[in-house]
Amino acid sequence: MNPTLLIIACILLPFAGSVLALLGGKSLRFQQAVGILAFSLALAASCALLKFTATGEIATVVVGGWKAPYGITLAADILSAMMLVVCNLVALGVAIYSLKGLSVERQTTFFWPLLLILMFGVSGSFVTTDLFNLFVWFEVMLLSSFVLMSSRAGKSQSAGAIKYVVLNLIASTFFLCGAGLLYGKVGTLNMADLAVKLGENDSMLVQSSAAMLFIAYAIKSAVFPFFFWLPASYHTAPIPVSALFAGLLTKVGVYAFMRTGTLFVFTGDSNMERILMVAAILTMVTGVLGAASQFAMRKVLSFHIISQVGYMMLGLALNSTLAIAGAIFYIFHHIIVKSNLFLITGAVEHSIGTSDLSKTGGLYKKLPWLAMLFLIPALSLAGIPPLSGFWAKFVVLKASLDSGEWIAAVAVLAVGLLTLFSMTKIWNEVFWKKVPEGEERELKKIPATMLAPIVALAICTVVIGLFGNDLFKLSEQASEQLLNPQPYIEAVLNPNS
Amino acid sequence: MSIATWVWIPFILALVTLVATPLMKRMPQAFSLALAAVMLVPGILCVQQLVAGESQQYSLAWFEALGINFDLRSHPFSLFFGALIFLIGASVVAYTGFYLTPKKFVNRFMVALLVFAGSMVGLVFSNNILLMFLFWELTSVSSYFMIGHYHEQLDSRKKALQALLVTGTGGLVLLAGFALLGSMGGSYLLSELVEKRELLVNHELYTAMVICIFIGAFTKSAQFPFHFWLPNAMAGPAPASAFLHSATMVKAGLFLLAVMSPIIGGTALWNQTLMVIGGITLIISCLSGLVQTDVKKLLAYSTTAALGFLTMLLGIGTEEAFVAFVLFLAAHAFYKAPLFMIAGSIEHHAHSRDIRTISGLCKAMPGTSIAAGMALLSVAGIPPMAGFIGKEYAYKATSFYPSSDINLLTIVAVFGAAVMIALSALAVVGPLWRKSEKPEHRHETTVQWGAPLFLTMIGLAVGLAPIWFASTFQSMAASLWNDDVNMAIKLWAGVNLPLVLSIITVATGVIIYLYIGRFRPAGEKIYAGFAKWGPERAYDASLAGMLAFAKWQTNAIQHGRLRGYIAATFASATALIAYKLWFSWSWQDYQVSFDNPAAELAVAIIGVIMLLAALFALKARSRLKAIVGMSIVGLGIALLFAVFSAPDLAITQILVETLVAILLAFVLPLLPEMRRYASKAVKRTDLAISLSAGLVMAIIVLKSTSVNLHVPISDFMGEQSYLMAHGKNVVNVILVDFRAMDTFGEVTVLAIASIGVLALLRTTAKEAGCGHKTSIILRVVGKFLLPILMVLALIVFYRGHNEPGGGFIGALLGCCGFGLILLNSSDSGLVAKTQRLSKLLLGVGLFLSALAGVVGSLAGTDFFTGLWIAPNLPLIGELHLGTPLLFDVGVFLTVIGFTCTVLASFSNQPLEKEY
Amino acid sequence: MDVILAIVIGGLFAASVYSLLQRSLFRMVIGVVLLSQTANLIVFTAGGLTRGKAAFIADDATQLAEAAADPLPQALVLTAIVIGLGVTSFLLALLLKGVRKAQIDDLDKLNPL
Repeated sequence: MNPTLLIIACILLPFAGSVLALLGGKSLRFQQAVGILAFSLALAASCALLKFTATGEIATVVVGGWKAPYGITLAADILSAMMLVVCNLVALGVAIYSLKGLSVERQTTFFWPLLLILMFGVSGSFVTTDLFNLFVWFEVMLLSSFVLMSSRAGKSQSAGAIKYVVLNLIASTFFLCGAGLLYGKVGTLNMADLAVKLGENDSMLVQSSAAMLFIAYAIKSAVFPFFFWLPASYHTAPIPVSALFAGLLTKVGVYAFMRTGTLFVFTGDSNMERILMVAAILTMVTGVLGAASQFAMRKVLSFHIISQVGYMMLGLALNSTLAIAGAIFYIFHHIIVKSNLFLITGAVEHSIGTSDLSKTGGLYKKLPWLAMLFLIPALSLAGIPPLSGFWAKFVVLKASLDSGEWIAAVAVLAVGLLTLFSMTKIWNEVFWKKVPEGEERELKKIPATMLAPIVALAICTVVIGLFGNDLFKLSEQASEQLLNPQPYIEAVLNPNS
Repeated sequence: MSIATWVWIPFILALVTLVATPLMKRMPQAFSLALAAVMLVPGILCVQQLVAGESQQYSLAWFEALGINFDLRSHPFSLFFGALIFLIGASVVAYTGFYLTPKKFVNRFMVALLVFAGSMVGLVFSNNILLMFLFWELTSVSSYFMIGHYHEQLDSRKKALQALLVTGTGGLVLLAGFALLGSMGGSYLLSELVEKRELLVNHELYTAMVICIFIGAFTKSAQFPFHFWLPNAMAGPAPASAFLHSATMVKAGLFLLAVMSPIIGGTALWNQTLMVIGGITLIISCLSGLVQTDVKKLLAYSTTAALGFLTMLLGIGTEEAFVAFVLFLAAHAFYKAPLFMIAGSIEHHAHSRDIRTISGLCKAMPGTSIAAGMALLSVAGIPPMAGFIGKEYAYKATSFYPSSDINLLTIVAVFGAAVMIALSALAVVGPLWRKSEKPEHRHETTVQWGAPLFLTMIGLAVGLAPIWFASTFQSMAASLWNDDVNMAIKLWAGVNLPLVLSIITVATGVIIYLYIGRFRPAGEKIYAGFAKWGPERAYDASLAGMLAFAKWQTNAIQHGRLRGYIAATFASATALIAYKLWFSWSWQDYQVSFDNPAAELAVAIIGVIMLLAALFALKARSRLKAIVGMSIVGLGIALLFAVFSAPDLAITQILVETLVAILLAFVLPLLPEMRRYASKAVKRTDLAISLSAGLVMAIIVLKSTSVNLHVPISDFMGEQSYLMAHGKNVVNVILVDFRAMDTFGEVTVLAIASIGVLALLRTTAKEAGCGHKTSIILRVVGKFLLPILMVLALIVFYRGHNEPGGGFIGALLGCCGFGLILLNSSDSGLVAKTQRLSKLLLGVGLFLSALAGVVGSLAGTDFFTGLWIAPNLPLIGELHLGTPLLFDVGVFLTVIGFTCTVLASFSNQPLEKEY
Repeated sequence: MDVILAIVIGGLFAASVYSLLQRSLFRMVIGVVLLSQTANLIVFTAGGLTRGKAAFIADDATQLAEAAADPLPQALVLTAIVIGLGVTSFLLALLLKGVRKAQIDDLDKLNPL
């Protein structure tokens, strides 16, 4: 299929699904069918797009026929396509999980249109080449996530939502200002064009504006010291929503970091890379310690998102082909694993009614297969070979050692150990421990539609672990494309040649 | 059979066990015997290849991009280890089936056991160090499940975690060491690294790398100061101990050190560290072991002692030492595994592990007693058991180092060996053969005594083997040594110094065994005193410290107060931007110019009013005043837009302000009065943060106006707007054509916002709309105004392409009248109707905007390309119709939908307070 | 001209941040609204200021006059204003819900994380 149409399909399928679901709002079944169909098709389209871009070519859409930098051009390289694939995969999983994993009441409160429109925003962010357009996509994503998080919320949820909303709006403000200031200085908004024009001049002059973008992305991707909103809110949302957010949202921020960082934010500003590296290490450490201090599954997992974003940032900050490839591989693995862990948390809650570690227990005895399903993503998260997380961690470790960043290497190892500690904590309290006195209850059966996505994502984790060579090669290619952006710039600015 | 198959066999068996769980549960004993039989096959093949002197290589591409492939190889030493794992594994598997019952989840234990066995096999046959690491980690993880098998007991869980964390830490450090080694040597293959010894040993990172590898090996092999996890790991079932602590898990570290010896060994750092650490481990384990009364703990300490002994031998690093290492390793494996099984049987039978209370079990377990006797002979080093020859060569190695005199090493070795004898004897002699009052009936299954006996027989065979297979042992030692081993290996070397030492050892061991009971109470006190300061305390303290720190840190950072988060965010952001500004800008770049004083003054006045209004809003004590202040700021911005040539913006800003004001008018009566919370001190920091943020912003804006690097892209838009996009209002053309994608996203945002408002403010019919005051006059006026406003809206909408206006402004205008009606309506039916209608409007509006984009694609041009037709209509004349117009219609409808939804939802809130 | 606007922007930004730092939910909402308006002004100002020459193509011309205001920042700001409207209305709904349903006003007493 025509790669241009594939990009459009990736964006418009969730959009069309959303409109349909909104118009056919009466019947929940219709909404569910539309949602799952749209995600499946989008997944297929993104896979096809990945297949196309894997050859090294870059797919473009010249929106409105106005060539960049004058109009907005959408473009997909390997990184974009990879992100699309994994996000659609997880979204599909979450959608299927939601069929039974989310109350009907919640589902009828615009859950399906919002879920789809959220993916519209996420997909748009991955393919746009225009800075302001990226802002708009971020807003689409953000506002739909606001609504998903806050609708039908009680006190604790409202409180989480307020923190989430306000801190993210601050990020939006910085993003908007940064983009506006950059336009004022350079006279262009297209990122490829920015790369070209700033390359000619002294990029010193835009460092302060770029710093605003840096802050905006840092808030979005929950980097130290900007991550407060994440632990405050993620544990309050309904599980499918948390799972999707946990997998996707911060990673869009990471993507933005990678894209803009390699095009113009970090070029000629190694100082910014140092700052990012320090921030990355602090993110890893504070995140993992935060997890160690928590005693509820959702909260532990939320804090781990932060620490893992640190790994990705570290990869980016190390700025070598290997390191960035590691970061990309890390994102891919992490999205699957982290969403799955949240889904499993949901299954635990469904089954025994709580995921508070002081009240859980005895599940290894009663639900051994759920225990196995938990172990796969949990050990993968902790970086145990041969699961996917090991390769991700190893590459970042090797990249730090190769660049002589000893502190970073120590952090990678120590945080890995503490991650293992956290995962065994959950394992101990939920699965191994006896059911605490007074907490014995009848187990509720977990429906097949909730289990299927968990199984599927666990299989993905194992497959990436055992047969991840091609995925890693792809990540390496993507990393090379990022570090040598000339073809990308060329494709964006002269799409027809 | 290829070695790859050997590696796979245990894993496949694990999978089979997993799949065949029901079968396993029904007949665990037969199933285990079958598994054991399969495990024996590769074990025998290993022995056969070892004796035949064969070796294999195997390679399968895997993570090529990272250089991690499935590279396997066998050499005499790894074949020897493979045989050890398979043979002991087979008997442990068989034993397990009889030891654990389905009720005790024998199936789960078996899976972990088999995965563990597979990982061990993989580890010893790996040629690629990273592959080796992979198996290394798998052994840690699978042993976690074995040690924690009785997981409902808190102690069990704790000890399993301890083992995992200690070996896991080591594993991670080892990974760093391996990564360094790979980078230094340019290869991950052991067979290639061995060629690069000179390069590696003289590398500047050599010390760092060796220390990493040491830490990995020491944690795994329970060397001081990491030795404490091993005795604690006795919390696991007996088969776990028998397997982990005899031949496998704990020997993995030794295996690693052994195969690394020819690659990075032989330096002073290497040898001295190993000797010292090994010696310390040996002495500490002996002393700690002597005060134990628990059967398994006694054996555990004798195990760590043996591990220390072996490490010491590696540290000696001479030809004799390697030979002794191989022999002693074999001997230890074949007596320690049976001893652990016997301990398991004792516990099984007596329901206790205290040597002081158990006695006289030999009548109940005669077979077991024979096996125990055999094992003890080997421990004591009585010829022709393997223990004899092992010790013999060990003494040869120590006493020839560094000269042939009796030295410190020899003394340590003799002492250690003697205590090991005493420990093993303490563990089994009393419980089995001490006289007991109780009459005991025979109570043991064949496998229970057969499995350990089988292993002790192998031990005997190993002891006898040098008579026929001396060259095999030479080749094993040679694979750890850079040179050939020519030393003769004989069972009986005549009466010499080592033999004398052996006799002294046995005698000392017996004496210690006989008299230790008297010193135990005193010893326990001393031991308890030392334990307070031991490394286990360090482990506990660091774990507790980490948790305390984590708690403190999280409370400090993630404290739950939103204000603090916002403050931190702005403070860090301001700091970062200021830092960047500091390096990139100076005041000299900027010249202040006042070109038109009158205009400047006007702007200044607007600015001052805005700032005052903002201050007023901040200071206001009532909500209404705050809102008024805010609105004045908004209007001021609109005025600035108007002054600076942006009529569209000015109109939009005013409309938006109005709409927000209407919404606030709905909201305000529903909110409680405003309260003030902040204290003086907080105010001061707030002020500092906000003022510095403002200052930095002001500077950065000023800077941006003085930097103009390139001709802006909007010049192109000015040129093309009319010619190509048929619009004279360039701003509008940008919105609906050049940057239609932005607008597309923007209306989506509006749609989401209206959904959000709907979802949040959803009310039941009963509470809806009650209590609003109704003004008939306003309603009538509203109803009257609505059609007029709608028409106006359409006009504004249409002319928007060429003059100020457009979909957004038109729609807002149209809805103002509607807002008036709603503000004064108590008709909840109207509200519901509006909400339904607006949902439809939203959907259709979004659909049309997307359609406008897709039309371009379907027509074969680009997405969102403007396609134009110009029909000549009667009365109106030529009309320019195009997809951008369609797009604008979509925007128009969505905005109407948004406005109606929001107004309807806000107006529909019940008035009375819910709290 | 730039200096005056820069000062106004700085002042407004400071006021918004200060308002955001209040413990009262209502004041914080005011702060968010002010902040987004300030941001619009920043983008507008950064794009360059032109007086009295709106970005319309004259009736007798086919191209925009050289001296006319830059239309692009205006378009950006327009988009931002509309997005801001959406966000604000959602925020007001959240405020209403937070205060009424969940009885939230003091932001220091939200939830423990």
